[in-house]
Amino acid sequence: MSDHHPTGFSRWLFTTNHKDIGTMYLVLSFTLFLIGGLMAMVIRAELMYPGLQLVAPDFFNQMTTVHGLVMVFGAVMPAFVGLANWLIPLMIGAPDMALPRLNNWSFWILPFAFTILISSVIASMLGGGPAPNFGWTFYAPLSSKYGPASTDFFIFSVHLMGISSIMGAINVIVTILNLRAPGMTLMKMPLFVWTWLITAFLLIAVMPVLAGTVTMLLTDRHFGTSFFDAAGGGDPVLFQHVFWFFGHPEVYIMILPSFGIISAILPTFARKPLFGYASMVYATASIALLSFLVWAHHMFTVGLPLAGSLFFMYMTMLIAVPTGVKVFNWIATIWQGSMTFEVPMLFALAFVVLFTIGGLSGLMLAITPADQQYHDTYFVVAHFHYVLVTGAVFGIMAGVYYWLPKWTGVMFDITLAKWHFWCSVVFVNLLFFPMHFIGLAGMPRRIPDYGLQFADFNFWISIGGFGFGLSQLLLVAVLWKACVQRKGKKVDHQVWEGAEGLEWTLPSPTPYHTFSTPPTVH
Amino acid sequence: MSQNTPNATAPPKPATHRALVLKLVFWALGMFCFAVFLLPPLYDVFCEITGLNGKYDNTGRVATTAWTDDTGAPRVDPLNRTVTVQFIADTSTDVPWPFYPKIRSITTNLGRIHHIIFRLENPNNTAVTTQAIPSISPAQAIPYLKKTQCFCFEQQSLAPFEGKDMGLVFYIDPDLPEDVEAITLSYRLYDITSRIAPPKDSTISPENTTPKPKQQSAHARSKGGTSHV
Repeated sequence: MSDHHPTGFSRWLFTTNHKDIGTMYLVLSFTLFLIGGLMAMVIRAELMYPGLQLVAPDFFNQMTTVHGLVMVFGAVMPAFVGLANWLIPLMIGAPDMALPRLNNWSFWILPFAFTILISSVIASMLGGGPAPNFGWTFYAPLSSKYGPASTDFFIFSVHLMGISSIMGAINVIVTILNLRAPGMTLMKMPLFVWTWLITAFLLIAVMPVLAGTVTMLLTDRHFGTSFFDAAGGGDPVLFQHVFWFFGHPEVYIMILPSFGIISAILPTFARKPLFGYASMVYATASIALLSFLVWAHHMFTVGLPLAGSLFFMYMTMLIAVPTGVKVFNWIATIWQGSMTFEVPMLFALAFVVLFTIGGLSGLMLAITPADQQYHDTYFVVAHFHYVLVTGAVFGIMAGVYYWLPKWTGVMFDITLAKWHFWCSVVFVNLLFFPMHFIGLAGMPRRIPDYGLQFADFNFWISIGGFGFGLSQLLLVAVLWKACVQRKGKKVDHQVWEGAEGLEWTLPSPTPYHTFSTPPTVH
Repeated sequence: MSQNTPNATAPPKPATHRALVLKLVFWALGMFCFAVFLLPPLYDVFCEITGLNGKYDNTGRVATTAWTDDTGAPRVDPLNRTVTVQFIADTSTDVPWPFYPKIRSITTNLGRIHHIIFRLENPNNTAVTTQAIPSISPAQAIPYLKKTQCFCFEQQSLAPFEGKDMGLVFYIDPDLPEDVEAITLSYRLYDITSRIAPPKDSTISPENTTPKPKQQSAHARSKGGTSHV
């Protein structure tokens, strides 16, 4: 099969090649990561000193809201879909995704979805009405009765993102179930494929619920229904139930593929096979099932009855068991291994340590009486940034560094990449760790001002924030050198000494068409 | 599971995937319908059956006889306790009207019936229809605050510039848990004029002539159909 491919803009617009589409997903995701990061810089600049300095409180609220939406739906989720596109066909020996044209469509919806969402921020900066300002969780009635006109932009952009995610998930499931190479049984699949298969089922189960939530919001706003309006017999608490029925599986959607990436990287650089492969699969599946039974732990302060609080508290704590199995297996994998500390391994090890910190604070938040104290404080902010930044995002970065030489054929600039890692890991902890303390001391989230007692901590948190933001420019430089300039040492097909899997049998850079003849797996 | 494996000359036809794709699409559509059409009614039914959340209990249980137990014998509080009941009335932000209880709080023996007046005034020269939504705190007191009559059971219509004294009749069940020493009963008033058909003139009672919103009437049915005590 020739390596010929079309050129120019139409190559990208009409492509059905899984590698092109994966690349576009990753580029879009990285762009939105930087845009969402800029919003975080605005938040941290305002919070650097007590009092109001830079932005109006309403604009601050728009920043927290759109930052969250862009990072969740624009940075983390498309990055995983991009990695899935690139890697799943290579890992299972398929020539492409099962539904290539659907694949093209599900990508090209996304730029429009985010243009709609971000245009409301631009309109707000140009003096128009406010962008969405009710937090990424868009609780009713903040988003229904009190939502600005731009809420409808937000609703339609979420509809588009949902359609894109559902189509992407269908594609992943069909690819994995139908296109595996001969001999590639389910229990021989790499864990990244397994975690993505389970993630895709989660996506199909809950993205429609999110679509339903925003649809009910839309009809409440414009078509006279009262799903969430007490005056018409509805209930705002129903909103929270429906939203978190989506929202909790969503947080596992954002972490399970990272689990898969880490499970690929640790064995490579510890030069030992993954400890407990089967238990990893079962743990992932149990986490996914349990994620449907814990949603109300986000709602302990709405006035749940005792029975409800206890049920959701115990179910939440139960999730620590399969997660603990995973962390145990990772540690057992590197235990007495011949470890070397290449850049992907550094990110993977940081993931294991820092994600576990986030998991532990999650366990604290699961305790109902403790949560009554922590609710809506910076402790919660610290918790979910540990699991999402040092968890999901570090996992993505580890994966990109791990497979980038395979994609480009050249080794990235290792010195620059190590600078990127060390700056990131130092500043991210300066950024998020003190948030635990000010949260326990009572500083509320989503407020542009704070009491003087929080001043010093916030100053250092902001320094950490700016440092972490600037560190990502190093990643831009690494990617520019490796992907655009193609500078760096040529790598062979193996790339990493200890790497195993079908993708490492292919030449580097990966040809445009691969596995046109399926490999046989023994 | 690899029977559909493609090879270089014959890539898989879309038909190979059709059954699985259709199944997944139906699942996605099904989850959407589940969220929009099933979850809200299930939520209501679940709360009504279990009493969790207090949604239905919040509107007050209808009691017809205050003083007797199952055998018809009068009931008294064996501990001769007293409990403080506080009344709070406020309005949603688009209804800046005077709305307040004539008495802020009472301290009462359990089982005694009280009649409390809430005052609502319409400062505008347009007729309005309102609905009050109650809420009781702490939650474990909800089943023990029994209302025999409440203005929140029905919509309240006010003519232009009309003021209205609205009644609430309730007692506290002597079975109230011992650790509850104070109960707060709060009402929030909503303007629902735009949700119902405009009355022909301002004196017409909405119960008789105007259709209620669908879900509102569902509440009314549930309240009217259940008799406790």
